[in-house]
Amino acid sequence: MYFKTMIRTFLCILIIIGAVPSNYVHALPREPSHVLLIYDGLAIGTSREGNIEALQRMLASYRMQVTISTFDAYKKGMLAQYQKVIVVRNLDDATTTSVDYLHDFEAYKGDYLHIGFHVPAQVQSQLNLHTKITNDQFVQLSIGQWKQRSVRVSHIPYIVQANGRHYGGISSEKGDIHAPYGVRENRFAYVPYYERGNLSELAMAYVLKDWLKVTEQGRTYLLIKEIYPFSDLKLVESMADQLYRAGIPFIVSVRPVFSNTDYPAMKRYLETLKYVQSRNGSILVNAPVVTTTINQAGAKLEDQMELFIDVLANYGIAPLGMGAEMYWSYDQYYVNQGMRFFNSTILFPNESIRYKSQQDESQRFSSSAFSMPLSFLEQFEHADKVIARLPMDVALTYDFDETEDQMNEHMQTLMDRWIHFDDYKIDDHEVKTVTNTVLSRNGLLYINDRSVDMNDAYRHINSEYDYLHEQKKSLATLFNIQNKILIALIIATLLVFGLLFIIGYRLYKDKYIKQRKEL
Amino acid sequence: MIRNHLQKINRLGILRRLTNISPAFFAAFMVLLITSIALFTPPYIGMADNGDYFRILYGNGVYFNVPDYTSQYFGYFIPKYGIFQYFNENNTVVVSSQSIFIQAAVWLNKLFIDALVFDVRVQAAIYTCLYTIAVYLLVESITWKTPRKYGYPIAILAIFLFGDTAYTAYFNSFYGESVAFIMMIFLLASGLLLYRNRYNDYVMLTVFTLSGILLTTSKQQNAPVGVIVAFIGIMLIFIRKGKTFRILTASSLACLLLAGVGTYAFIPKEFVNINKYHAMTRGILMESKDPEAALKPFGIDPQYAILDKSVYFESNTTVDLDSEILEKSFYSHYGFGSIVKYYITNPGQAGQMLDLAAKSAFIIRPPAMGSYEKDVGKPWGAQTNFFSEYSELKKHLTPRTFGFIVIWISLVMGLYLPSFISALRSRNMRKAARFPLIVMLILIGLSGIVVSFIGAGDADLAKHVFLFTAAFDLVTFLLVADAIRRRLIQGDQD
Repeated sequence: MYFKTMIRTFLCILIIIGAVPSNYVHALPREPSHVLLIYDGLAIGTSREGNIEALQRMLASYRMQVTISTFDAYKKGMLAQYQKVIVVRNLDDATTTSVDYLHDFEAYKGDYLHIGFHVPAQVQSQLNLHTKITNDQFVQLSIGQWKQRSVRVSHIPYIVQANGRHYGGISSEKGDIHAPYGVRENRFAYVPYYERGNLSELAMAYVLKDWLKVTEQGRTYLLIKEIYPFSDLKLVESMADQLYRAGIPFIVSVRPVFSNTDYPAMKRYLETLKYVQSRNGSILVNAPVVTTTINQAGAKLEDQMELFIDVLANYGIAPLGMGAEMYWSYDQYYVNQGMRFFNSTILFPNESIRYKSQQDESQRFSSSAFSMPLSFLEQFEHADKVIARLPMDVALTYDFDETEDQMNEHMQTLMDRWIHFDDYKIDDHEVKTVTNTVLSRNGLLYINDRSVDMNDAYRHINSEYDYLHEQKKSLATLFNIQNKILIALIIATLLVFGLLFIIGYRLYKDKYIKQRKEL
Repeated sequence: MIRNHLQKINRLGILRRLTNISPAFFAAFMVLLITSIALFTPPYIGMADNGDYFRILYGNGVYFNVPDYTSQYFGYFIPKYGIFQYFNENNTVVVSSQSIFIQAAVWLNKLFIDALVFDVRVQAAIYTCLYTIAVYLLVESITWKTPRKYGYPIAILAIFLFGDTAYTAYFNSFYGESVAFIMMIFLLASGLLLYRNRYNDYVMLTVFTLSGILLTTSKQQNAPVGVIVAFIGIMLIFIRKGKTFRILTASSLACLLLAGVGTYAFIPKEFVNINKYHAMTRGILMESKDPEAALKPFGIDPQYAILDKSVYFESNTTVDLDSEILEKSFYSHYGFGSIVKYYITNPGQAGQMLDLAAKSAFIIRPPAMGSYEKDVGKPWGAQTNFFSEYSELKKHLTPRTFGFIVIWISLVMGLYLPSFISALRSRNMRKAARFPLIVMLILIGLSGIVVSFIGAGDADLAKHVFLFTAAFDLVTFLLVADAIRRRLIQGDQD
């Protein structure tokens, strides 16, 4: 009887499962640190182009894992899996919303952040929200200590009235608009305007931090990019000296080398990196340049990255993370083959996207600072001389200069700014290969549990090196003798042949001379 | 009954006509037959793309329409491509005579087959027709007025060599080698026909000039060919006394010279970077005992020694190989001239590179590219062995050293020199033309080797030294054929 009941129950479950439409996503709850980001369009060719990518990087800097989807790709039941959902409506076109999404949204109970047009009625009522659309005009944006004047906007929504905590402000230069930049109450938040490249990009970080309930203080790092084995290594060392003297901790994102790692040129590169490390510089492995997405026979990225990390570690250099374009964290191949050694990254804006195995879900890292060039901050006014910390972890980047004058100028700019830079190695970072484990704890570096000697003397690298590694040949002497004998034999044969030829020719000639004489 | 039947046939003169088939016709017909079987009957034989097709295809209004096209690189031959139906925004990346044949094929394809999908076999059909004519002319230039007992063995030799699918598979591809090979045969055949005074001189001069121009402009690395043909071709001016002929010949040679210079001038920048990169990393640095010291004469930072032996096409690299940093500190420091100077001052290294090039100089079919379509079910990169006996024998039997090439050149020159001297003594310039033609072909072949390693190191040598492998085969064929017909030492008397 009991057995029959079990079979019936089992069959019932099977029927129920079978009855669920195939496009229905099985509701497995995700971690609270997992955000679903849905958007209607990338707004390519408009001022909003790039805002989705900036948002993805910002979410990563708050240590969030992100699943990204368009309304078109939305599958029924997706919303129910997440406790945090962000919707970006870049297009002023309501028809792009999926019916499944609208249905699911009615039952959605998690946190919700809406950006842009078409605020759902539920959000409007909860926030008592009223919005209007601007004309083509110039506005002033403000958030925290930051202010940006004369931002040209056209046809963007702004908040006329809303309950809850207000963030920053948008005000028109004509004086007819005085609106908060964003608003949040309980589980709902709304940001009407979000673009990449102006203060709205930073302002979003303030709203996001509270909405995501992140409490940790953001850190600010200085990151120097574009350091190659063929950069002016003396200049790199000089830069490290200047930053060290100014008390500025910094990070260098160094280009990896996958071959000829035993060459003196590589040793000089390593020696420079070691010197940088001794000058309070932290080392990050920059992602290699991906030239092609074709699967080719040859070295695997995984082996190449492991090789370079091991070369650094074996030389007493402790790489603490990886610097890569953001799209790497949304690609299964790059995550598994290139990023898996690191628990910390700094994600750069995408420059040349070359996906190999694109996925909707990002890889989450324990630290993933939001990178922006130093020049980005400099376009904004700030109220105090001292630049306050930004809400998220930030890496202010600049590309390593080619000339000493340019570098000195940059160093001076850095020293003149009242920015507090944090030491990257104060936090916990871990890089692990089969043979090496690199750690940073409270400012100390460890390679395989041994503390790294930061004051290791600088070594001069000798240029003499056996590049061709001539292999020892067996019986070389014997073959050498054999060669000489053969050469001698050939010469002798040629001589004999030549002699016979001359003799034959003379005999032949004599025969005719005789014949003529006889005639 | 059978006897009656045979008598009937005999009466019609069919048997007589069959036995009257000239060796040239026989060779050309058999080459046509074998090539048609290889290229136009399943499984179709062709060549996989090594990534070069893009440069020539898109500019000619043809695009990759297979969704997983790039995953079939090197592995499989793809016969069908899309034809642009809208404005083609792709500039012509490569200026090549190959475009003429692609355009003609696309036009025919649109007219008779499909306006949307281009079948590369249409192009192969054009090449096959030209190839058959070229083979006919070449065999005719040798076997004309030659007894049948010598003519047919020569024809069989020609079938064995020119029917080889290592050569003909190129027709079902977008590599410039197909044009280069056909035009080389035309060039030699027209030169020999002038030497033998077989057809109208003006017609043959036109064929000689046109084939020379098309050969020179078929690939960027063939730029020296124009110069070589123009200079060696000077002897053609003297084979006939008429003023018109001499002016026409001189003008033709000037055109050839211009074609050579023009081809060099039109080499696109992207192309330059790939080859320049390899010329340094797979050439100078690779064979140098001290890459850092090798960089010094060029004024390049010794740190660039790290790039030693690296390849432009690697998936993951330290630096963007078209970046400003390389442009400023690496590429701008050297060129063709400075590399030549380096090899002159380092003859040992030049010798090593020549030896390296010689290793690939006897391989007709590049080992990297597959011959079959994916649907055939052959493994990735599988190559055909249909009618490939000559190329296989050549690959396995020839000593692949530069020393052998020197011996071969000495032997060829030594054997043909007496007839040349004798023709010069008798002031018969037409009869003297054979030797310079052979020297021209040898120089074209050598230019292929030298330009390859100076221009791109050891990268893709099997394909880059194609000119040499083709020149070697043509000269060797001529040598053996002349030996068969007893015209090696004394030359033709007609």
